[in-house]
Amino acid sequence: MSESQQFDAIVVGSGITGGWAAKELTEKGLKVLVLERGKQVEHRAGYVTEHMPAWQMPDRGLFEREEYDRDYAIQSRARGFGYATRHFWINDRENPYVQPPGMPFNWLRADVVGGRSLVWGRHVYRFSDLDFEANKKDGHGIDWPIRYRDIAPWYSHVEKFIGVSGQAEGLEHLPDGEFQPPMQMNVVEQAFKKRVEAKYPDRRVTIGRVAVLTQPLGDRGACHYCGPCARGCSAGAYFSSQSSTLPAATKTGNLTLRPDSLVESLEYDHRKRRVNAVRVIDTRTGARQKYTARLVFLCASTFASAQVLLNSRSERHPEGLANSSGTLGRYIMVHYHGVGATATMPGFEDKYYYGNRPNTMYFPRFRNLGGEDSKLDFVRGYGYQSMAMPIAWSSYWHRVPGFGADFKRAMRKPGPWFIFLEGFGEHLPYADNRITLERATDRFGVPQLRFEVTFRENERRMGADILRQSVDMLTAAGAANINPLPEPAVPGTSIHEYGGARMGNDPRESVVNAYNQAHDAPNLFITDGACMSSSSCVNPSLTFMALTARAADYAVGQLRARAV
Amino acid sequence: MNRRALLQALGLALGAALAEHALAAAEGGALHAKSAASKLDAAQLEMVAQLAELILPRTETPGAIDAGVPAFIDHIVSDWYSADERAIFVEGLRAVDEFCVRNYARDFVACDTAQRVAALQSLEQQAASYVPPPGTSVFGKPDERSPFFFKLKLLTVLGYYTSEAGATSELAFNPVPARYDGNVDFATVGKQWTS
Repeated sequence: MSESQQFDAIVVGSGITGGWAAKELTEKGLKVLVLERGKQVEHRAGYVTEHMPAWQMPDRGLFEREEYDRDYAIQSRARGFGYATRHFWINDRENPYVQPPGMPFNWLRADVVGGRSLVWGRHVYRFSDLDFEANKKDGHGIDWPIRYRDIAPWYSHVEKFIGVSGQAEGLEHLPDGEFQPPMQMNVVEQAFKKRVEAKYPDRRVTIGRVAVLTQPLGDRGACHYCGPCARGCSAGAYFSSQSSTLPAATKTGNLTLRPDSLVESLEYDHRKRRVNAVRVIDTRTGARQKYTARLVFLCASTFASAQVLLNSRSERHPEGLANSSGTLGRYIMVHYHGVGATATMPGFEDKYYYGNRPNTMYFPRFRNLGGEDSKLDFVRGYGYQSMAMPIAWSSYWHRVPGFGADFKRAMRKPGPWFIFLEGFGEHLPYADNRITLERATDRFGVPQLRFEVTFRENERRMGADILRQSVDMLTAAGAANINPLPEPAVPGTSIHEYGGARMGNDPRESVVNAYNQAHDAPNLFITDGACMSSSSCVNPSLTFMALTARAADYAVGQLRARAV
Repeated sequence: MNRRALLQALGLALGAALAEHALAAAEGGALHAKSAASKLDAAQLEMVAQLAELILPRTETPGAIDAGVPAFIDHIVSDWYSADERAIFVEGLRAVDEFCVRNYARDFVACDTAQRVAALQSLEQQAASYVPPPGTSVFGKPDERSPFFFKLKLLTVLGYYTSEAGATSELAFNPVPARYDGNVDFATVGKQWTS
């Protein structure tokens, strides 16, 4: 059952946070074992569909109905899911979870080394004190034990390594970072920005801040604007574990990476108050094995990390490990998204673009910036992602009438410029938005996760404002054919996942402390989205990375001081 | 010259996909030969080929037949379509023939070009009231109940513009642009990007 090889630290997961934990811990001299449930995907060699044209794909990359219905019924709802990326996503048939009636939840997850860092949206924004103080000010959730000044240097640390292109805007509530030159807005987006900012002086439109290089960084090349990042990038132009953190960790000689290794649970020593082993299932053989180390970093992704803890049950703690507060699995948050509007922008028919920019515009939050605005019927706020581009033949063909040589000639011209606004709203922490273990197990005998996560009145009111403001701004910008999108996506679809092992000073109401250290097990650190006490409205991955690097620094200090 | 060498030589001149079809033609094989799993008969396949070529004919660039669209449509209709979709498609082919027999006393493939165009125009008119669901893309989940003309045109467009011949010669194809410029005059590109 046990393996004689000794490690200083075990990192569960090799995605965005697991890769960071591996890099930071190995660079500080620790021998690290990374356990990844998914299969190996090598940088470059594993990007089997990169730059593959449609005619080389089976059925031209068309929706594979039978296979998707059978194996990817949920994952196929992920943006960018298709023939060119499906091998990175998990098989739903083999890996079920429970959605109670009336509570649909899309748990969209990768099943490979690198996790969702291969397929993520790459937008990176800093939280600000508007976010870290929100719980305290309006009373939803518990106060964060940290403030912006605690994490700011770690944001810089992460940004310099991952490479972030973006525009400094000088906004207090969306702090600037360490930026490479920004990507360019196209001609329609520039006009849109000018018109919206003229009409709404309190609002700002900026180019997305993305972990995509506009200049070389180390041995990673700048973006070559081919477009579909999520197939993998041999140039390493976007941040992934494969392109960035895992090579850095490998270089130290201190990394052991074990794919196909699903962590079932953690073993806890009550006397010493420590995690003393990690129980692993080989996903190819079903064989069970234990690994030990002085430190354990849970970076399995928000819900999977909580699942591991919930499943680390014993007689002494039947409700799961590190759960003396009773909050484990609770206060789950996602982003309220999918509401917005689409339109066309007349007046640019002679304009076009060159290159496929893997980025959108970003509208920083403009609601409740001073705390609460008495004119609004909701707390917190939202931002938008937005993009303009000409409608391509694949979506416009049915608007081109007729057939024959004239039709063929007409198809050479793209459709009108299209623009969309899509809101991302903060989700409040509610105790009964939670994940629990179901009695039913999966193929390995691990209890399935059950999701009870819904949007409430505050999110719905915010959604009404997201809708109204997107229509108003498109109107102000001179857009035509404005089409409101009032329906939010099913919870989880944003893949912005938070909570379940929230951070707080008081062990009676939180799972981890200000350094992501479990109150109940000082050698256990939970540094992915599970630790989040609120969700902000900005994309979360940068914050997860910064918290992970900060926690690794603290953990190694504690280890050296023999405090853990 | 063996097949491989010939393919390579043709490939240099024509692009690999076109070369396959050129070679098939040179070897005396039908361009839109029936595949093993085909659920369409030879007459239906011939109709599909002629209809696709009517929608996207050979001009100064390859046409639907050059680009292998008939075989693509055969494959999708036979292997990918649901039984309901296939029924609509097959019934559509029958209705085209019926139109031609009624108006010209011969079936579709025996008609001259003007008669075929008239037949297809009649189909388009019958489908004119159909409004596809918003956001309809050739790559998305299909509307199973869309009329025959819509299905035929969709498959022709999809098969053609995702073929090597269509993507690289009819549209602007540049898999590695290396830079981004969001403000160029359309005239400098002249045609839309493949993707």
